[in-house]
Formats: sequence, C-alpha cells, structure tokens
Amino acid sequence: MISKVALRVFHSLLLLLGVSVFAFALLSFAPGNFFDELKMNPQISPETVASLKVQYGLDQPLPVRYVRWAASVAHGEFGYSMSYRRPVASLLWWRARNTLLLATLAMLLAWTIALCWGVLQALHRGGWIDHSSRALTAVLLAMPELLIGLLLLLLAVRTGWFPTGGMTSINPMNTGFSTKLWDITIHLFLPVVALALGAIPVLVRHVRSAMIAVLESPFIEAARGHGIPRWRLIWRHALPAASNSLISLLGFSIGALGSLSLLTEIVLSWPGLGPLVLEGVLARDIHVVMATVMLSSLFLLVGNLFADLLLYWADPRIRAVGP
Amino acid sequence: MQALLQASGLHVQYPGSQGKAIHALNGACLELRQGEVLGLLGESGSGKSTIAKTLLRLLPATAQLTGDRIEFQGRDLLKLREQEMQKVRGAQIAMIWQDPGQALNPVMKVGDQVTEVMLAHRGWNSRRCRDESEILLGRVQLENPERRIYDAYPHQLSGGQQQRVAIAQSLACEPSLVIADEPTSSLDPETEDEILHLLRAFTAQRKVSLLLITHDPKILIGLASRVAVMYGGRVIEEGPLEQVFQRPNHPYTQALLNCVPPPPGEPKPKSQMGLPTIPGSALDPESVSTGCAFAPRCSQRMEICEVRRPFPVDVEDTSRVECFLHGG
Amino acid sequence: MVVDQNNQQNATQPLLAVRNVTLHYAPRRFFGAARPTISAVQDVSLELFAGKTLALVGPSGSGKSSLARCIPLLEQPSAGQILYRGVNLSTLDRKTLKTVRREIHLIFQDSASALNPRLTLEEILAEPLVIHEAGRTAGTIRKRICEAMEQVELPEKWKSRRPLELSGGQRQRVAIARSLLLRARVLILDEVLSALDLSAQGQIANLLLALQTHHQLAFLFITHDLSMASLLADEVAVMRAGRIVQRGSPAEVFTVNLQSTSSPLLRNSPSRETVPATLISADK
Repeated sequence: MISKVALRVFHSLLLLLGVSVFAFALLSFAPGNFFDELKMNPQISPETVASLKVQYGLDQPLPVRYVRWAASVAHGEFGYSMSYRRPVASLLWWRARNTLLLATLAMLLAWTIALCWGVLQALHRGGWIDHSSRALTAVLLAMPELLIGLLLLLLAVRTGWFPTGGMTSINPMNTGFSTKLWDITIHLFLPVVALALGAIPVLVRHVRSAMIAVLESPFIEAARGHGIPRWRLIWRHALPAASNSLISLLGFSIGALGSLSLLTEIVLSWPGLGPLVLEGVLARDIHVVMATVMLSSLFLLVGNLFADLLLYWADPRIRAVGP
Repeated sequence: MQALLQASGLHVQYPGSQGKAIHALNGACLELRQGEVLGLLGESGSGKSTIAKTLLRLLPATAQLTGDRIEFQGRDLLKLREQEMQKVRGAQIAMIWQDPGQALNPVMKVGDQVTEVMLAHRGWNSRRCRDESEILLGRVQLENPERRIYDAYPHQLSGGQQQRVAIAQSLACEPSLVIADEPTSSLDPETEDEILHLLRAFTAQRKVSLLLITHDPKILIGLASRVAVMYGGRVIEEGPLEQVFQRPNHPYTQALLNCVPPPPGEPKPKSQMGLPTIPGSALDPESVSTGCAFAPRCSQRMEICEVRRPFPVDVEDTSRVECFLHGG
Repeated sequence: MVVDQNNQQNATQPLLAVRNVTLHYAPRRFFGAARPTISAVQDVSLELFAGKTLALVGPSGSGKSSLARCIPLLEQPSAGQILYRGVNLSTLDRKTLKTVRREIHLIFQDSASALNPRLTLEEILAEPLVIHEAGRTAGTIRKRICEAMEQVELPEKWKSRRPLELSGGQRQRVAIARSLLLRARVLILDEVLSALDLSAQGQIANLLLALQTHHQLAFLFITHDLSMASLLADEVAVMRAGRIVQRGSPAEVFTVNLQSTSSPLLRNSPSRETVPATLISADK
C-alpha cells in the first residue's frame, strides 16, 4: 500500500517536471516579452532596454533560463516577478490560500447539491422532476462560466445584497471575530455560487446515471425483497455502490474546478491566483505565470491522488486487486 | 395441513415490442401448506420467476398485475399498500435468488447485509442485530478459522458461501415462507448438494415452508413433498412428488421427465435416436392462444386442445391436472 | 511450416493432440515477495479424433476451462505442445496460426455474453466471414449465412433479431453456426449445455451430434454433468487438480448403482454411488 502511494508520488513529481518544461517553453515562444511596453516609450533608449534585459537574464538561451528558474524554485523563491520586483513566492501564498478556500467551499456545495438532486432525479426517473431538472442542467451547462459570473455580478450590483468584489470590506484591526467571519462569508457567497453553478450540471448528470444503474441492479432488488425501507435502501445500500464511478468523477472535478476558479476570481474580483495570473499574462511576467501553472497542476495531481485513495478505501473490490 | 398461502387467478403482463403485451402469467394458481416444501418446476418462459416476484409484489413498475387474491396468514397480499408489503417482505416471506454473487451488495460486508435485514424488521438495537447475525452466519456453516466471515465482502467468498449468506439473510427474521428461485443453478454440483441439504435442514428444523423453484426435476427428489409444474404462465399439474414423477398425467410433465438423462454409466439404448427432447420451443410469450398453451408441441393433442383451454381436474384426490385427456 | 490441407483424415491419427501441457499462473507483485505460482494444468495429454467426442469431467477448479483455453492458444501453455494435424501450433507464424485457428473453436456456456448484443444475427454471423475471408462478395456471404442458419435449425427470418431476443438454446445455435461458417473441425464445448433447460439441452445435444456425423467434427465436451457426459461421449477423461486421473469409456469410468424402482427419474437421485471414485475425495 505504501509502496503504491510512493510510486504515485514519484510519477506525479515526474509529471510536474514535464509540465514545467512544457509550460516554460510554450510561454517563452509566445510573442513579446516584459519589456515591450518600455520599448514603446520614446524616452527610454534601446540600450537601456537591452541592459535591463541582460540584468533580468532575458538574453540568455532558453535552457539556461529554465535552469535558473528551477534553481529559484528549489530555493523556495519561485522566480522573480518583474512587475512586482520581488520573489514570486511572497505573492503566491496568501493568494493560493484564498483560491483554495474558494475552490474547496464551491466543491463541497456543488457535490452536496449534485448528490441530493441527482438521487432525486434517479428516484423520479421519467417524471416531471426529472424532465425539468434535465432542462435546467442543460441550460446551465450551455452557459459559459464567464456569463454565470457576470450575471451574478449584475445581481449584486442591482440588489446591493452582496458586495461586488474583494474579500473584506472592513478594517480587520478593530473588529471582533464573528464580524470578520460574517464579512468574509458575504464576500465569499457570490464566487462560491458562481463556481458551483458551473460545476453542478456535469456532476448531477453523473450522479443521476450512476444511481439509476445501481437502482436497477439485482442486489438492490434483493434488498427490496428483504423489506429494507426505502430511504435506508438509497443512502446505505445504493449510494455506496454507486460511489465507485462518482469518486473517479471527484478526481476529475477537482482539477476542473481548479482551473475554473481562476476565471471566476477574475470576474468577481476575488483576491486569489486568478487576478495574479491575468496580470502576469498581460505583462508577460513569465515567472508569475509559471508559478500559477505549477500550482494548478499540483492541485490537480493532489486531488486525483486523494480521489484514488478514497476509491481504494471505499471499494473493497479494488483493495482485492491491490499491490 | 392447513394452507399457508393461496394464490389464484394471477395475470401478469409486460409491455413488449411493437405494442404487443408479454403474458408472463396467465391465471396462475398456487397453494402452499404449512411446513411443507413445494417444488415449482418449469422451464424458461413458464412464469416461474415471475410468480415468485408476484407473491412478494416485487414486479417492475411497467408490469400489470391482476389477480383474484394472494391469501397469506389471513390477509390478501394483493390489497396491501407498499408500506405494509415492505413489512411482509423479509419478515414473513423471504426470498433467495438465483445468482448470489449478483444478489449481494458488492461494497457491503456480508455480515452487515444480514444485520440490515434484522434492523429492518426485528426492532432490536444495532448491537444485538450484529451479534445475532454472527450467530446466524455460524449456523449456516460459514466459519473460517483464519478470518471473521462477518467482515468479508461477497467477492471474497465462493459461490456456495455467498448462497449461505443469502440463506442467512432469508432466515434472519424467521419468516413463515421462504421462496428459493433456482438457488443452485449457478453452483457446481458438489456445492449444490450442500446447499440443498442446508435448506432442507433449516426448513425442517424451524418449520418454515419452502417454495423451491427450479427447472431441474432431480433436485426436488428427497426435498419436496409436493410438486407443481408450470407451463405458459399457468400451473398445469400438481400433486405429491412421487405420484407426479412416477405417474405424470400431463403430456408436458411426461415429456419433461423423459428429458432427464439416465444416470452416468448406464449403457445407451441402441435404438434411441439421440437424446429425448420436446420438439419446438416454448410459446412466444407475446402471442395469446385460446387453446392449451402446450398444444403445438404435444404429441397427444386433440382438436379441442387448440380451441379451448382445459379446466383443472382433480385426479386421485391429491393431484390436479389441466388436460383434456383427463376431462376438463 | 505448411499445414496439411488434406481433409481426408487417417482414422487412427488424432485430429488434435495435447501433449504434456502444463499451465502455470504466476501472479506478479511489484514490490514484496512473489506469490506462489498456481498450476492450473499439470502435464495433461489427450487426443481428439474426427467424428468422436471426448468428455472432460471434474469438479470446479480442476483446470478444465484453463485447458480449454490453452488448446487454441488463447493462453500460452508453460510447457507441452498442442498438435493440430500433426503440426505444433507454437511453431507457426502468426498468419498461418490465424488460418489454423479457424478450424479450432471454443464455445462457451454463457452465450449471452459471447454474442455482441448490439448486432443482429446476420451481422454476428457475417463478422467472422468478413474477417477471415476478405474479398467475398456480399451475396456469397448472405448465402453462406442462410446455409449455416439452416444447419442449426434457426428460421431465416430471424436474421434481423438481436441475441437478447432469443432464448438460451437459440443463442447456442448461433454460436454453433458461427463455427460452422468458418468450417471448424474441432469444437471445444465448455459447459455449453449447463445453462439450458432440460428440453433445450436435448435439442442442442442432438444438433451437435448430427453435425458431428455430417462434418466429421471432433468434440471436446467439458462438463460437470456426468449423465450428459456419459450419454454423449465416446471416451471420458476425469480431471482433478490439474491432472488427468482417469480415462476410459463411459461404462468403465462411471460406476453404476441401480436402485430397484421403476421410475427412471427416481433412480437418478444424486447419490454418491453414481459418481466415479476419483471424484469423491476426502479433501474437497
């Protein structure tokens, strides 16, 4: 068991390495660099620009630049941001924490709703609940997440019930804990809902079909034959059996949610990794973008590993095959 | 012996392809007495599995069920609401399915699966249910010195062991009637023997009535006291086992028993052209005939057989048969 | 190596011979100690003759199905040879092996999962022809399919039905028709009758016997049903724990203890006396 996990961790590290090489190369090949704007400025001479480039090491060939970046990562600095003029690491951590908070809450909300709603649809298969739910999820699925975010923003502006951005609106120094908590919660509300709404349609469809398949299986019929009451049958007998495919979906949705959150943060001005990476892309601040890409990949890999471990714990048949 | 269960006039239809209906049961009647083992003999398409599900009201929503009555312990099961029926299932009438590997939940421990049945009906707390389940698993001879069977999962057990778990589940709440639908078809012969012995021992010991459904006449010998033969959704013959097997009245029963191969090692009759069989195949359940369902394949059919359906006739006071050869 | 295409079989030469075949399963582990190897088949030899049936009986887990899969080389034996018409199958190159495999067929117990549920009967039967005999016209294929369906007594108008619309016996007929289409010479029948009703068992068994006589096919009939084995086989081999422990004619292998009652059925009660001594063991 430990050996299996160790192997996975090793593979993941290799994967991260590969992603870093690929991303770095791709970003470097993209046209433009940080100093293009400066070049536009007639007051700054080309020699100054050139010397700035040398100072930041942009004149070096690609492999050298990569190795220098990797060394910086190893030192914990994660490169140097040219816009902010400091090591990227100092920019990253608190933003990463905010993104994690947002993504985790959205995940919990999305899965809770998807499970309840999916089970409901499966139970009333073919009925009006099922049909109207499927229409609703189709609409949600078709809407781009950008649009969902903007619509919620519109809601906030028009009604004034929710703040339109940021994480806090109060001076954190002289307010009590519960006020701070409420403040953050009310700021969290829209981004979490936006993210969850983007994720729910796919999840609920899978839950529905997994439940339908299980509810039609012989062992559920046998359990009905033993007189197991309906609700116990669903939650204690059917749902665990359906969890096999759902846990695989969990791994996938963690990754998807990670990347989706960046977009939502930008639209709803949540101070996470999203706005950071947008700035970095626009300014060609390579190291900032690299750091965000690596963190997203890490999030994806950890999420999938977690899902695999969960599957191992949840499904005894997989334990049987085992190492 | 007094009657435990009396069912009559059961009709079950499913919607078939192209708007036609599939007639699974065509006025089937069944009677089971207290403490007896009744064998229900039939081939695929005869309605034997459908009748089992009908008694427990476990038919899918698409099935249409009509019937005169299913009288069980003073109540008509056809008239019960789903809530009331759920209390009957598992507690008073229990079912053992054909393929135990499919009938057990793959992600739940087998001990828990027995406990679940007790929790649903017995009114004990979970601690007591678990303890009683362990005892019951021991009683069905599921013991492994190396590992607690309670904690095992179905895929870790052999087919025979899985079926023992199913038997434990069915006996968990001490029902009056156990319905076993082809309980040994998916097992190899050695295990089949063991399971049948176990069933017989338990039902005798606890005075539980057993409805044993099978397509193989051989397994009923030494186990069932009476046998009912099904064809085309009806019971076409029934009576004491020795009588039906030694002096079958209905041509279908005669033909079916003729298909049972002689014991191994007997010299093959030289004159026999191949194995005995029943020509043709079972009636397409989508077609409805006005006459006897077996007529097209019957070697002794008469003109009237294709026109009218025979009525049940009593033979020798203890048996019944539906065939114009005996009146009806 | 050239495979003998001559269809005239010398009556004393076996059509297919299994010589000292052994099959080990060695479950692998990535880390940790290696698990002990399991010998599914140990040093088994048998011979199949054209027009004759060899029944292979034994308790479950005795290795019958593993041996069945070794013969057409679906599993590579760890040791031993499979000789078809005198030629060792392992020495053949892939192309020749493919041609030879047409003549050795394995038919399983569960016909429902052996046939593609999405295809119609016609498509199922056409598939092997299309794969093995590229270049045939659609007309020829249709004609061959009709002939095959007739031989297995399936009405031609059922061409457009799907497997799940048929009964178990009818599905087995389709599986047999598939083998006939490729002009199989050796049929390995792995519990093909076990899942069928009694009356259907007789029908399919009769069909197989008729086809055997007509085409001089060799059958390896694997079963746990000793009565059927006794009725259908010319020779019986008893397998236990991967080895052949007894061999001979049905009368020799099975001991019989007739009870003095008139009904043939009551004489059939599953009593221990009708089982060959080699199958009754203390270490069950």
